[in-house]
Amino acid sequence: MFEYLKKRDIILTLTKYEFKQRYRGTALGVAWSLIVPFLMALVLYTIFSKLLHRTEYRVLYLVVGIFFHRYFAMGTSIGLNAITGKVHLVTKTTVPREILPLSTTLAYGLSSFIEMVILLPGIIYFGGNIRYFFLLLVLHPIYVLLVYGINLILSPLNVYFRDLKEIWSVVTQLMFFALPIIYPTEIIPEDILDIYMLNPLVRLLNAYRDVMIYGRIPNIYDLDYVLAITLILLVVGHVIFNKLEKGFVERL
Amino acid sequence: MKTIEVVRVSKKFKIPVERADTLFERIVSLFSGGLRYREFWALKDVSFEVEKGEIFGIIGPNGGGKTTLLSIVAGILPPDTGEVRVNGKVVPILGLGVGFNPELSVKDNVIIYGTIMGLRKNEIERKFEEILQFAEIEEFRDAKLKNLSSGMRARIAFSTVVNTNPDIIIVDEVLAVGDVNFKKKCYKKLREMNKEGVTILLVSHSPGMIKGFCHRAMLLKKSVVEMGEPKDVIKRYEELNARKP
Repeated sequence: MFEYLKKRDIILTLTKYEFKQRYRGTALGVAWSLIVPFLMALVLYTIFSKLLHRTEYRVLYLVVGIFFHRYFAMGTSIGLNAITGKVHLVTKTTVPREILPLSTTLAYGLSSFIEMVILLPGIIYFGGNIRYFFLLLVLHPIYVLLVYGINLILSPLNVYFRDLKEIWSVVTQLMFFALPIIYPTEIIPEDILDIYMLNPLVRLLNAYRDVMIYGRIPNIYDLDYVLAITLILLVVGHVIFNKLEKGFVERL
Repeated sequence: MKTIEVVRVSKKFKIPVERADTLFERIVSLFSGGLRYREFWALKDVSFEVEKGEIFGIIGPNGGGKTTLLSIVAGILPPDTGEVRVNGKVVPILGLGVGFNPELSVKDNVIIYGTIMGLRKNEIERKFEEILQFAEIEEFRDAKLKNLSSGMRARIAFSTVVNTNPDIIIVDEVLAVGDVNFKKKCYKKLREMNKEGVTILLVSHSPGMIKGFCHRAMLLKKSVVEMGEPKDVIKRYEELNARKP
């Protein structure tokens, strides 16, 4: 089931060129791609400033949230298309198919990591505490694995249900509001807080804020929970992928 | 030594009578009494063996299951019944330039294509000059792929593939592209590789090709119609064609 991980050269090459193509090889490419989230932050900050005033570091709070959600939204909506967008690789080569969602997940994970690092000067400027910023090196791989687990489920399903894209775009939009991005967690009513916290992304986002702006070590219990969900997603993802993989060539 | 063993392989395709590619259509079909499929056997009970160092040709009418069979031997498509055993590294050339990205440079594309076809990255770097030379496009080394003609792209792809040190090459008529000279060069190269022990499984529509190039051949029309000496197989193929008005 994990045999494909031995094909390191294919994984690295496909990831590299997926990344390269996204930014068309220019250094400005990454910076350019940041204009959208920053404009979004500006608009949201203007509209929701009252809500955000109840949080510490309100600007940073919002920006980190937006950038965190961005990887989920982009990583999964592009990952969804990892098989259907590369028909020839599936029908005409022996490249292990898991590598297709894996390489897009990795490529977007890398660009998301770079985006977060680019925020560093801004975080310092707005007074964030970056003592534990380096822990991002631990958190981000967990996030990438989580997204990979999701993509292992979405990308083969999209072969069978081509309207999954529309359905999933609703999910990613809802996720924006289901995460504490434009509001503090405190406004969640007590009685649904337990349900709210079941979402591993909520806990992971809290951990990102801990290391990126609060200078705190993230709650280990929360991270354990995120890791457990990630492992479950990876196992379920591989099972589903292996099951659906058999029909790829016929359906593509 | 047998390099390829295909034992009683069958493949059935299910063609949906109604389209059901989306969740919406699936749900609709639940109410309209389920999906109906038309079953279609692309291959039925096909068995053959290819010896190491042999050039084995497959010929047959359109829809006869040739490409399906190659995909199954290459391990891309799972058969419904039967078994395929392959000894050695298989490089399928089912389409030239799979994974090519026109926005990237020639070199980048060679690296991507070579890796996909099973070369290690440092091997590609080492063989890059050789690949360019064989494709006769040294002067375009830094060009973007989109600025090259389709024939040139096919040449790059072929040169890359033959440099992947395969034990078995599976070729699906892709060499029909390109000009006469390059085609000749390709077949010459394939023959050279064959002399060094590479097994070749080839699909062609051209009787001349089968007769002139292959050691043994097979006429495939969903199942094996004839197998053996190329000239006998071609005779049978021509009879089959003559019978149709």
